[in-house]
Amino acid sequence: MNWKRLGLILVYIVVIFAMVSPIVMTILTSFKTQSEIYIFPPTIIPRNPTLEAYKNVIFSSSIPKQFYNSLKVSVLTIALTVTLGSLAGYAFARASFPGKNFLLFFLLGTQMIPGLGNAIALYYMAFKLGMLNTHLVLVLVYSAASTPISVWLMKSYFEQIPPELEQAAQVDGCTPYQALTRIVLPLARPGMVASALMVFVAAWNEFLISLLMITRTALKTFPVGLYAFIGQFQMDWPRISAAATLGVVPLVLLFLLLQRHFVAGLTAGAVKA
Amino acid sequence: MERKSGSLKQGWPYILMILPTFLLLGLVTFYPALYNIWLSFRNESLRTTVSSFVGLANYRRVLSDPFFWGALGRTVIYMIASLVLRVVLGLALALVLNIPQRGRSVARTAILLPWVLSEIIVTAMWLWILDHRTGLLNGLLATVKLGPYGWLVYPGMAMGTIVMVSLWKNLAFSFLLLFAALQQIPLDLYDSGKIDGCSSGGLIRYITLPLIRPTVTIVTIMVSISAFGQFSLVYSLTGGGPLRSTELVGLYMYQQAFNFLDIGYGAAIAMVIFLINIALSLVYYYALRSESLY
Repeated sequence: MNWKRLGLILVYIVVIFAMVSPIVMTILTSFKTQSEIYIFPPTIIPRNPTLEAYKNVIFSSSIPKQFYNSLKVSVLTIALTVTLGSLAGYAFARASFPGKNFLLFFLLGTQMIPGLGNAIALYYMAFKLGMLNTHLVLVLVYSAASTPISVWLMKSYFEQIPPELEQAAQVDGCTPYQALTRIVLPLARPGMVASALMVFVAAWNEFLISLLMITRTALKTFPVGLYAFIGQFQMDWPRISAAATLGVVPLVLLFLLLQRHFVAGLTAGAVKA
Repeated sequence: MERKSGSLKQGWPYILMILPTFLLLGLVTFYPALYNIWLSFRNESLRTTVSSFVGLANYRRVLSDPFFWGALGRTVIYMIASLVLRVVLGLALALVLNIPQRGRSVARTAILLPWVLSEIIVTAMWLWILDHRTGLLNGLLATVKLGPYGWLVYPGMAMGTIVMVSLWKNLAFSFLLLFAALQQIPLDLYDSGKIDGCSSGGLIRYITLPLIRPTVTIVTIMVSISAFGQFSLVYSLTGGGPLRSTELVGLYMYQQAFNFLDIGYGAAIAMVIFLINIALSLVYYYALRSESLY
């Protein structure tokens, strides 16, 4: 044991504590009774662990419905984005035509328009088209936001698959379409997973557009529902923590299981730029 | 290419494959961007259905609006604080976690974890921790006879608190990009540096830093732009308060457009923010590029 190693491990402990403890505290608080939150200084471990807060959130709030809405919007967004991203990514990887690089950088340029900058115009368009309070408008806006990165990501995966592989399949009797679906797409699956995860995180967490477009409680997505929930049950920390925990657990599990794909997807836009 | 057989040889299937993407972006990204410009020249409002062209009136109003300038000043403070903390801490952690040692992957995962959470979940977590009466932080400080502090309720403190919470959530981004850049540096560069008599501080100064400069530029641009796009965290954590002390430009734009229903004015603020973003990107790009690499 030398000093350098000890110092490193000390840094790890500080980092892990700082990043993880707020999440752990929220999960612990969700099992507390309502009266326990008035104890000062607050308890760390619940004295009388109870599922009361979860019962309240699951059976007498709109959170489960809003959870489902977010899932629906996210899955539809993933389907649209990964389809568009794969199609365009494949074309950009294989074809060479004048203006290709211009189009590619044009795509990246859209990332410079912040979500906030377009929010007013998008709201006003949806308002005039009578598309407020529909999930379709969320799917379209989220897909448009994520598609450019998805295209870049898929392009880089398709470029790693040699065209000779497709030609060999065609020599062996595949149609061009079969060569694509049976040879290329399975090989590009990691790229699709990375794209899907990136889109999922973005769509699942998005707040501003959803806040603007959806005003009906039963149609709200989880973040907007949770925001209203926090306002409604002010200071009822076990209940707020229980609702937050329901949103944290699936995301954290997914992240821990598929961390490598997550990192590839979430950094793609920035690294390429 | 001429060896390729089948219909994919011609250009048109490729065009058909690219078309849907540009159709979607045209409708949902470019058209709204242009529409926003058009709105910014009109007195469009959700209060009335009549509206007309007003020229540069909205822009003149932005430039003479003391609350906009206040929000802009706070955004610059938030941006500089975030930049320094995220770049310095991100780089320090990337350098430390680049040293091979058991346990570093756990630390790396821990840094990435808050990044996948939505701002509203982050708010739900920190509201209790930071609550000035029953919160965990003041509780812990009380056991060592400190506080209580009004993390989110003292005007002088709220901005610092917002910077720290957003650091907690977003540190992963700068860390990850800088970490990836460090891993791209060939190790034999360090070996030759050592042979030439460099100390480990010298290795960082003369090998690491020049080589990761492009990444530092990207991180700087992205963090700066994100400061001007910051909305969800301040909206949910403080709502811009207390006494406007955390009212950033993004939130101010939202309030003008949707609380005061002044769409045209909000659109003009959005345009000003957009122009600032472009200016910032250009400044960083040229400032950090001018000193050439080897």
